[in-house]
Amino acid sequence: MTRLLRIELRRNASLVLLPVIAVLWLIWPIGPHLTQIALWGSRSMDIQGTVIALGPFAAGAGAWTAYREHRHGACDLLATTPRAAATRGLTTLAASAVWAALGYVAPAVVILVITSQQATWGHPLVLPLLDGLLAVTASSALGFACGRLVPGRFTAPLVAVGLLGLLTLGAEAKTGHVAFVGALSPAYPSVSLDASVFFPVQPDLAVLQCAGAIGVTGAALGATVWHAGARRIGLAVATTGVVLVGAAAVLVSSGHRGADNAIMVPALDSVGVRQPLPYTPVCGGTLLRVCVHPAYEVKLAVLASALNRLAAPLADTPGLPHEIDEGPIYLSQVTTTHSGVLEIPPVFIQGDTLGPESTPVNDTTALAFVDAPGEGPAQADDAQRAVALYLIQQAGADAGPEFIPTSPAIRAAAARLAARSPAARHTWLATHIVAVRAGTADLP
Amino acid sequence: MNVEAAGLTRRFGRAIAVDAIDLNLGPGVYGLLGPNGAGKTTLLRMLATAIRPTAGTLRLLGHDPTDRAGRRPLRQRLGYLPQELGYYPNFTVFEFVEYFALLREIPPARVRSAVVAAIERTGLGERARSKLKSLSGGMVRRVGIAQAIVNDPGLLLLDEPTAGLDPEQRVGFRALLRDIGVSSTVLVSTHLVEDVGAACDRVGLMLDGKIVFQGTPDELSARGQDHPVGDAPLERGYAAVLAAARS
Repeated sequence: MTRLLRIELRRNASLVLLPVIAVLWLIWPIGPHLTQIALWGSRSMDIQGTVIALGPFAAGAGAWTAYREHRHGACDLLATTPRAAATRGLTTLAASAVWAALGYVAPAVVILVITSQQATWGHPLVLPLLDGLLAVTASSALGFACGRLVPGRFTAPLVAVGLLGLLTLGAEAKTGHVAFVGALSPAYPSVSLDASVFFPVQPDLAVLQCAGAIGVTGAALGATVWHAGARRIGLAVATTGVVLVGAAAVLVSSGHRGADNAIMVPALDSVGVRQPLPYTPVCGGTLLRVCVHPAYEVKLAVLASALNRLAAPLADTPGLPHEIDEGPIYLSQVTTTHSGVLEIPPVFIQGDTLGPESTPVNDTTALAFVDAPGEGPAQADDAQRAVALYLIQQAGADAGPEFIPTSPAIRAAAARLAARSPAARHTWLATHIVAVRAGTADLP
Repeated sequence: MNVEAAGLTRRFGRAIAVDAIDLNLGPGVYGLLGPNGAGKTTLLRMLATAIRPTAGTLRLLGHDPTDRAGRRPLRQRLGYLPQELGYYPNFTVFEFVEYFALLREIPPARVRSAVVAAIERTGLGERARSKLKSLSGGMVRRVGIAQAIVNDPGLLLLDEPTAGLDPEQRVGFRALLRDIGVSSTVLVSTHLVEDVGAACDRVGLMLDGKIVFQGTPDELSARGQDHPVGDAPLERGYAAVLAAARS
């Protein structure tokens, strides 16, 4: 068996795909991420997410390898050998799976080593990493089984494209119990980013994804063995795999989102109600004190500068929050506490400025300076929108119309405010800001 | 007897490819002649356990190939070269022969020496590390023969083994057949009557799924003494038997 496996490993089709996999890793978004904030949780999930690209390749290579006997017309000759066809098939499958797994593990190790030099918070999350490995192996086995059951020239590309579609659909799983089944896709992050920073890690989904991948592998192995003639054992293994996948699907469908935005499955919940992990924030800024989780300390200077620039025209005006805290990602809107602390969702930075993804947070933060606590862009009146628009524009950013609805009158009012002298503008803001927040002011 | 077939029949749908053949073969080289479509390849595939007979009884090397328990030890002592050799182009000669040595369950300790011996016997020693895709058609054929003899088979079945071999290689191959035939049963299906004359102890001639002649090459030649078609005695005998069977 070992010698047979050695030959198969040396001449496996997946080996040819390794350069392709290397290129994929280079162009994968994880590359740019390596230069940004290094969180163990984030990197672990990035590595797991590569399954969406590696999985289809592994499945295609598996199907192509499985079709080898038909393609080269070797079926007759192989059928006359005494070694069981199932053993022969499983050896070939194992070789394909080993190369696919190596295609995942080798770059993952490189990324983990890089991360160990950069990481600001947490520790490697084993379950997402394991889940990715199991999923790539399952993809290879699934492709191989398809290649055996439906041998044909087009099986490999069809399997690869089909799996890519399934993984992509799963990655889009959002809410609702039916959609939760899609979260079994290994392309769906098994751990929420918040859970790796602000909350204890919730392993429910990762465990179910691992179970699903093992189930798919079992079903594929069973189908391969069944096709090779060992009907009874093949059927038993395949059935066990399908049952495992079904059980994982049922369990994930019973889940709900917890406070940390992670999918919680009551039957697996071992932690119970999740409380945020205590931490001591790091703060900076001049006019406004800006505080972030220590995991994000490297972006504090940029964030404090951007938010202070936004609030600068409101200096010394009444009611301005004295502190802004960056909170977990699940916060859907800006909120102000009674003690004058504004809590905002995470802000993404790009180099020494805010990233494009941060526009909504930037805009709603500006609005939060001038409207009532808890109000969103939709509830703001024209005066609030006009002042917010001015704050955003003077800070050097454009307000996206989709985040703060504007009109020609609002834009004209913002322009009039900008055209005033600094002293006149400050006087107007100091005089009217309370009325603006109360929703009783006219357009500037 | 290494091959004992009685009433051996194989149908594909309505077509009868092999029609109630009786065949008993001991050690030696047995040549199987016949025109295209006579049923030679189907007969060899049944003897190689690649397909099952539709009717009749068959015992090979003392085993019943339709019995699951008997098939494995039988296949361990079987060598087979199909008419169209399916091979993996990226395998080297050594790997390909080793692959089949392992599939034929040669004891691990003997695999390497068996592979080396098979490669040497087929004259491929210098190309052992070459990939199959780099070999000529004749060399690939010799690789096919090497994989067929790697387990020192008790029953060796060769379907058109000399196709693609040059005259010098064919001479060497006939010597190899005679050598193996001393202790084993070798069944060679071929179109080339000169191969039969040079290497075979006995010869059978198939037509329309039946064996219409069995005897020695000399006996086949004698059948064609007065036949006008053919350049050599064996060819004339071959043509005469076919003509008689068709009439």
